[in-house]
Amino acid sequence: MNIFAKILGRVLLGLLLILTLLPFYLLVLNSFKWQNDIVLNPWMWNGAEHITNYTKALVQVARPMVNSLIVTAAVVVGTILCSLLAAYAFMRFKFFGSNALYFGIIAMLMIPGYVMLIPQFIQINDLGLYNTYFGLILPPTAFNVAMGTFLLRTSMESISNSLLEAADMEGAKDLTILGKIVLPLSYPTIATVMIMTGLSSWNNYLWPLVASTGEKTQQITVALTKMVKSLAEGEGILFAGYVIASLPLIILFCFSSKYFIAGLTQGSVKG
Amino acid sequence: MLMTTRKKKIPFSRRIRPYLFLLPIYALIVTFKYIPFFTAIQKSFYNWNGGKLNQFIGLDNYIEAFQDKIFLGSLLTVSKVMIFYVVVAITIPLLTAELLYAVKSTRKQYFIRTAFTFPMVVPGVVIILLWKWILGGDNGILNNLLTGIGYGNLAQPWLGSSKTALGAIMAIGFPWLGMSALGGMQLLIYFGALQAVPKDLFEAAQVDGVNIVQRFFKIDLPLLSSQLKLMITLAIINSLQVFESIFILTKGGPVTSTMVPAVYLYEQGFSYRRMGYSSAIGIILFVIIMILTVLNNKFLKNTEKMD
Repeated sequence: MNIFAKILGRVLLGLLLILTLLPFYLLVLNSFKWQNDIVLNPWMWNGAEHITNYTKALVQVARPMVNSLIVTAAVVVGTILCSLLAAYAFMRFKFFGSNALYFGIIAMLMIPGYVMLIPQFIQINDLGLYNTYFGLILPPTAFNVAMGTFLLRTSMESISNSLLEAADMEGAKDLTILGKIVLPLSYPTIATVMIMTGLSSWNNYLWPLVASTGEKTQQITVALTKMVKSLAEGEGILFAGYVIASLPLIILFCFSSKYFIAGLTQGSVKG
Repeated sequence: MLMTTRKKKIPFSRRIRPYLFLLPIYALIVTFKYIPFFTAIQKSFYNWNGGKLNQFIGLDNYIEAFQDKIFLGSLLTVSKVMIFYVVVAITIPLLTAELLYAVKSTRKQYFIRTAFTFPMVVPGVVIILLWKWILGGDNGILNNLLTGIGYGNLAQPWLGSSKTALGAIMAIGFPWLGMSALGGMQLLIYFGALQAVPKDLFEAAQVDGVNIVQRFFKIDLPLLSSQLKLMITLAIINSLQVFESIFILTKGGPVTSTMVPAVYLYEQGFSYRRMGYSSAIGIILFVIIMILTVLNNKFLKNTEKMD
């Protein structure tokens, strides 16, 4: 009975894993095919590989990828900087209104993004930031700093007070303490926040859809939905484009899956 | 005591220092979060097109929303999506976490968990577009499969008919472990919680002759209850805001069979420039989410007290 249950469990787990990965197998496989072969048999390798799908897709996605890279890098840096400074203030100082000010940051997590979508769009227009990098960077950064501050403050609480006091005695400036002591001790959390923020920025679809138009600042997610197929290659080109767009994060994932798992679990809790 | 003596001596420059540290974050969130949020509340009482048309109309937008058949229909549709996602969140990822936990070798466990995590790194838009192909009418993979196994008569444009479109959209990501908001994250949370349980607890149960099913209901479920409740809350919040899959695949159609509040808000605001009405829809959505969250938290706290 027990051995039977065990085998059944393994088979079920294997099946779930195969079903989860199957669409990605099909995506990669068919990204090397032309339309005819995709229609004829999408399940198997047929020998004919068309690497040209990738060069043709690259023409369509290269510019948006660079745009997304710029925006994502800026959102990540901005989020880390603001969250780090704020978290440090809450950890180090006792000051009037600190609880209220902390709540003022965290409370933003409770407001769904759609509520302010229209006013944000009008605001970006009024500020002359429509279709600019700043327009794509600033509102999402404002969204990400709440979770960043929360996670960094929590992790900073565990830094020993005597260490900080010793630095105080030595006459170290706050920015020195932050940079030389607090920052290195917070690296794991910073990595988690970076990945969480990077994922949400690279994958962001709604805000780029609203805040940009045309090619100048177009983000990869929007570009993917607007890719055009050609007659012979058909969807092969689109699939190649999807693979290319997924690569940066997958490569990063291969090197730091530990932080990804932390980022995925904590990031999604922001609701 | 040291604190109080120090406090008197603190110079002004030191007293304002914490506020200086908070300046960047507050400049950012006040400008790009608080001002838009309060603008949304204010404009929900206006007939507003984002420009010159800007006229106070009291509660008219709200009255209209509760008489708007498409909006009310979108609330019904999103309720279906919500119930479905809540059920998914507490079943398949939990079962998978248990199956994964039963794998003895830590290395294999780690490998399988990483394999499940991998698709979560793929952009959501890619997954949606991939499933557009899977569910497509002409050359769709699903139809190809059905024809291949002799059920060709069932093949149909799954997203193109108002009967099947909503079901097809909810099927995206099957078995729902590869999308972070939809089951993948739950798997990681449940599995992490199971790993945190002291091993001797399960060993003692085994010695006492407790079988797998009994162990699951008597030990695992109570231990995971707080995670389960949190995942239910998140599934509710996330599903009420569902947008991308529906906007990209059907835009709420055919007819209004897949219309959800977020897509309707977008359409009213940007396609029809009815930005006051659109803001009112956003506020209603916000209030609904707040009420459900508060109810959930209450429920969560009460049961924890019982424990």
